[in-house]
Amino acid sequence: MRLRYYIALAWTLPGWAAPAAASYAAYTGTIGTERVTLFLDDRNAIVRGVYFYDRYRTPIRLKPAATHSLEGGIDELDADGIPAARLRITFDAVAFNGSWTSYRTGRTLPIHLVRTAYSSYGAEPVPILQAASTDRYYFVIPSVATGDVRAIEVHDKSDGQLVRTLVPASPACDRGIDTVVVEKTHLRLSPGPGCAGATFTLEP
Amino acid sequence: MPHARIIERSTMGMICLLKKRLPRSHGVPLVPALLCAGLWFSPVPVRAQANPTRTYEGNIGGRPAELVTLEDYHIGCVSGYLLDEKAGRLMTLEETPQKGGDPLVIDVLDKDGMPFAALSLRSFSIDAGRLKGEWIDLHTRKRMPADFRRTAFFTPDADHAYDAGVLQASGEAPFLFRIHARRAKGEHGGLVDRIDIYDRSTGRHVQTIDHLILSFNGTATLTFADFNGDGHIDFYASRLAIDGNGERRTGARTYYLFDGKQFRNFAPLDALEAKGALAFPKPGWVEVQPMDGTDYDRRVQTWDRYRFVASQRIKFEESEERPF
Repeated sequence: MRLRYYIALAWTLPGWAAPAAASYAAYTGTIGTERVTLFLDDRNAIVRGVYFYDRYRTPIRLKPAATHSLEGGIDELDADGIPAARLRITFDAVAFNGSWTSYRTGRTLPIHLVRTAYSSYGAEPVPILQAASTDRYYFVIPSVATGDVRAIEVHDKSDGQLVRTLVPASPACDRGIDTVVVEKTHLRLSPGPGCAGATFTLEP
Repeated sequence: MPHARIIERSTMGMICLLKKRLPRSHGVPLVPALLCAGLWFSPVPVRAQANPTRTYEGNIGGRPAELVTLEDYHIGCVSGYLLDEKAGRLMTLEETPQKGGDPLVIDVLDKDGMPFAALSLRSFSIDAGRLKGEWIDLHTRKRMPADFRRTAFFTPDADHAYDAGVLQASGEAPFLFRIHARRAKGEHGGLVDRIDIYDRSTGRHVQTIDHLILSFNGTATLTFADFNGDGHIDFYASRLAIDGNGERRTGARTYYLFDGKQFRNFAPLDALEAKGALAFPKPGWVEVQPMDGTDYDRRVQTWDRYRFVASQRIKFEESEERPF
């Protein structure tokens, strides 16, 4: 009941978008004692998300969920795309609290997250963590303020430092956490209506 | 087992490991009672079937299986249920976003709503006649092959006809319910003419209620709750009214109570339903707000309260006015 209450409340607050809205939100906090960074993309009534443990910085994809059914929780996926853990989260305007439960072991850890950035319809810049990564790098879109992707930040997983900023020749499509596609030696941005694609060679 | 709350209607699909235990349709002819439909002619248009519903037969790990899916095409989601034949266990499949052509990994929920398994269907297409994939135990990660072939398609699109059975989302009820629905091409609103009921623990067919004219609403055609407070699950459905021009409208609800052996229509509740919409604040209690019981000047509504004094007997208790 508590969970239901918070979610009902969340819909009334500007901090979490109505189902039809497109919004991005970034959070930092802890799962158990580990620091994590979480990013959520809510558009067309579907929530997609990705997070990483700050110690490792390897993005972990969340299974997409219908926005209206988030009260039941959202799955963390393993590398094969199979649910590995369940995140049950209560919402308020700027914070998430809840639990993380491993399907394999049944182990449950508390979740505490605080929102650090929020954007609805690209009104405010929000860094968009990308679900795809390489062994060495992870990728962040620094801003989607105009709705187009004008840059991709390449960060080193070992320390989180910005290594390089990739700039497409013309703005690329904003595909949320799946804007960047990693293909062996290349990083690709898929073209779409009104926006061009781009390909970058990944340095070893 | 008490079933004090109404089992929520699911707008999702239904997957059922059920083949031999739930026989297919018996081909009951359309009854002349259609002519009587006008007796409860309702101004309410026939409700749109919430979601396209597809049923499949197949197996999971060699076990006979039946698959039913509901598609929410507004946001692109699929969900459902799973019924283990041997265990008689009806499990919900979690509503899951799905893009055509992508694999569908859909969680199987336990009765507390926690995923414990997943059904991974490769190259899932909602229109596919055959679905193949794996059942994955989320705890052990053990996998079993899953293979389904579509057997029926209940669509809101009047360009398609249907004549088939589909299981109902009966939650933890000790019985399984299969309705038989049909609709000819060009008609709006499916007609349910029969309900087959099975003992969940044995799979044995225990009752058929036929010669019905009910409004089809997919896996949520029947709504389950303990109305009379006897600890047994009961159900209601909405009638289907068909006028002389063939126009179909959803009529009043009709109630069926479990008497310890069978489900029987309980006319007193149907009669109350004719007075106004019923509410069941708790098992064994009924409230009706008569259609002529609203005083707009005083902004009050009259509510009549009834109580089940026995499992098959209802008694008027009191009337009260409530502000609105």
